[in-house]
Amino acid sequence: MKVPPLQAKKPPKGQAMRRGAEVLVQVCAGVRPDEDVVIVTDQERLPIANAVEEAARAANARTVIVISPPRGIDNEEPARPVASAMKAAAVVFMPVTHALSHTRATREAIAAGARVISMSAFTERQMQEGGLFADFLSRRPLCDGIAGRLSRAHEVRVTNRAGTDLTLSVEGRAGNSHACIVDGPGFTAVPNIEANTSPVEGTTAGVLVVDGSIPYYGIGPVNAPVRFEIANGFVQSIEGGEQATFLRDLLAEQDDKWVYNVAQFAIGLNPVCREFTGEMLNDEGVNGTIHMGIGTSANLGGNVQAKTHFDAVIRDPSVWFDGIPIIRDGAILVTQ
Amino acid sequence: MDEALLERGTRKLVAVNGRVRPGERVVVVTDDTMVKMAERIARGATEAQAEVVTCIMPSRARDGEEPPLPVARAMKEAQVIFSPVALSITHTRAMRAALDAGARAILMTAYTDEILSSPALLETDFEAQSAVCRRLGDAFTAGESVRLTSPRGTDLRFSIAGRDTNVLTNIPDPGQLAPVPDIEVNVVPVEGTAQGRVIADASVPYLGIGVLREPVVCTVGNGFITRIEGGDQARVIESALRSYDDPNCFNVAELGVGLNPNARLTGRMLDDEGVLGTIHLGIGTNYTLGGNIVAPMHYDLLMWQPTIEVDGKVVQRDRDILV
Repeated sequence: MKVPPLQAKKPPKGQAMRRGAEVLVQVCAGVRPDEDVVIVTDQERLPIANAVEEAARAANARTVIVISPPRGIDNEEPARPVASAMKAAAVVFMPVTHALSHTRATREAIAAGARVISMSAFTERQMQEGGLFADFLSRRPLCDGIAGRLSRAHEVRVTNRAGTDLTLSVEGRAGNSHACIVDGPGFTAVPNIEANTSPVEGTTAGVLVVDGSIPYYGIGPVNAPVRFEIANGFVQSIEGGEQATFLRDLLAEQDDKWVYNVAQFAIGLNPVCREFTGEMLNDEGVNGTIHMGIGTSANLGGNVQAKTHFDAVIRDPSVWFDGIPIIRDGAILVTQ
Repeated sequence: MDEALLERGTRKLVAVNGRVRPGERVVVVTDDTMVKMAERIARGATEAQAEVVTCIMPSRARDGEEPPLPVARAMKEAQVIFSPVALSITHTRAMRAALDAGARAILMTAYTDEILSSPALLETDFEAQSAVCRRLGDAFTAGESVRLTSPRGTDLRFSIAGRDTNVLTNIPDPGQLAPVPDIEVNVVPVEGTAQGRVIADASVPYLGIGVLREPVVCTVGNGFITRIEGGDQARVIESALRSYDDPNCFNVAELGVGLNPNARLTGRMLDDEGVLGTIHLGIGTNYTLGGNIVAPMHYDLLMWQPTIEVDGKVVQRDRDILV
C-alpha cells in the first residue's frame, strides 16, 4: 500500500484560480441567477474555463463551456456553432488562446444582448495575481471620463521619447470605456482597463515607435524598437529587428490590405499592471501607456473587418486631445 | 481497458457511422460527467479533419431535459452531432431542430468504454445491416395494423396507418439520428389505438433498473398503460411515471425492433435496444419519433422472442426477419 507523503502542497489549480474566477463572475460580469453563461475556450485554456464555470455555477447561472477548434490567427472568426452559442448567451467569457474580441461573432452576440468578457491568451498567473485584482469600480470614473473626452475630441496627438509622433482624427467617433465591468450589453477585456476609440479611417499619419510590447502572435515585449510609418490611415512600413521582420511577413501572408488599417487608439489605465509580461491583456492595460490597434475596427466603432487585429503598446507617451495635455511622459494628468 | 480497442471504436464511430468528412462542422455535446469520452470523440473527429466544437453542460437532472439554449443553437449549426451525455437529450426540441436543419446525429447516451470497445460496435457490418433495417421499415410503412405476441403471453394490437417508420440504420443521413450501436426500426402507434398486454422480460435500461429479474406486466387500453404489475422493478417504473402527474407519461409511444446481431443485453440502453431478438415498447413522449404527444420523459421496456405481424403477415419471429 502506498502512503501519500505528508507535506504541505500547493492548492490544486482550480482552487488557486477561484478568487480570480469570482472577480470575473461577480465584479466584471455581474452574473445573475438563471442567466445563460457561455465560456468559450480551447483545450489549452480549459483549466481556466473550468474555474470560471465553477464560479458562475456557484452564482446559480446556467453554464455551458464551449471548446472552440483552434484558429490560425488572432481575431479570425470562430466556428459557426461557437458563434451561435455566443449569440444565445446573456454573458460570454472568452478564455481563448487566439483572441475573439474583434470578430463578427462577438459583435453579433453583443447586438443580441450579451455582456462579453474577453480573456484572450489568459494565463493561470493572471487568474491568481496582478491586474485582475485592481479596484475596477474606483477606476471606472477615470476610464469613463477619458472615453467621454475622446467622444468630444476632434484630434489626438501622441508622442514619446522613442520617436513616436502620430496624429489622428476622432471626429464623430464615440469613445469606449472598457473598465472591466459590463453591466449592460457590451464588451470589456480584462484586466486591461482602457479607454479607446477608433480613429476616422484614412486620417492617422506619422510615426509609431513601439518600445513596449506587441502581445500578439507570440511576439511579446519588444527587444528592439519596432517602427511603423503610417500615412492615410494605413501602416506603410514596419522596420526594426527580428520581431519587426516576423510581424511584417505575417501580415503580408494574410493577403488582405485591411490588416494594415489603423483601427484603434487606446489608453491603458490599470494601476496594478506595471510591467510588460507579454501577456496580452496585461500589457494593454499597463497604466499610462497607449496602444494602437491595427486591423479590424468594427467592434470599436469603425468600419473595417480585416483578417486579424493586433495591438502595439508604447511606453511613457505624451497625449493631447485637441491640444489639451492628457498624459505627459506616462503620467496621467486628468482625474476624470 | 484496451486503448487500441477504444481507438478503433472511436474511429469507427467517426468514419463509418458519422461519415465525418474533412471540413465538416462537428458538434460534440456532453455533460461534465462524460468529458473524457467527449474529448476522445473530439480528437477522433479532429483527426478526420473536421472542425470540432465541444459543448460541455452541467449534468442534466433527468432524461429528455432540454439542453441550455446556447447548446441548442450550436447543435443547429452542426453537420454532425455526437452526444456523449449521462442523461439522454435524444427526445428534445433542441435535437429535433438540429435534425430539421440537416444534422446527422450519433447518439451516445450513457456511453462507456465497454460500449466503445464492444463487438456490437466493432464487429458489426453497419452497411449490411442497413439493408435489413430498410426492408423491415418498408413493411411497417406500407402496413396499417400491427400485432405483437410472445411465448410469455404478450399480445398487443395497434394501428400504424399513415405512420412513417424510423429506420435507425446507424449510418444516418442528414436529418436522421443513430443511437450507435443500437440498430433498430421503430414505429409510432396511432395515438389511442394500442390494446392488450405486454410482458417485458428483458430489461428496462432507464431509472437505474437494467436487466429484469422478474417480468413487468403492462395492461394497455386505448393507447395508454392502465396497469403495471410485477416485482420491485415494476414498482420503480410505476412510481416514476406517477411522479410526473401527467397522463401522457403512460402513452404507448413506440414499438422498436432491435437489429444488431452482435449486441448483448447488459441493462444499458445502447446495448439493449439493438439486441436482435428483442423489441422495446417506448412509453411517454412520441413527438420526437413522429407522433403528437409530448411527455416529460420517454422510457423503454424490452421483451424477448417477439413475433410481429403486419396486416396479418409475420415479418419477424424471434431473431429471424422475414421480409
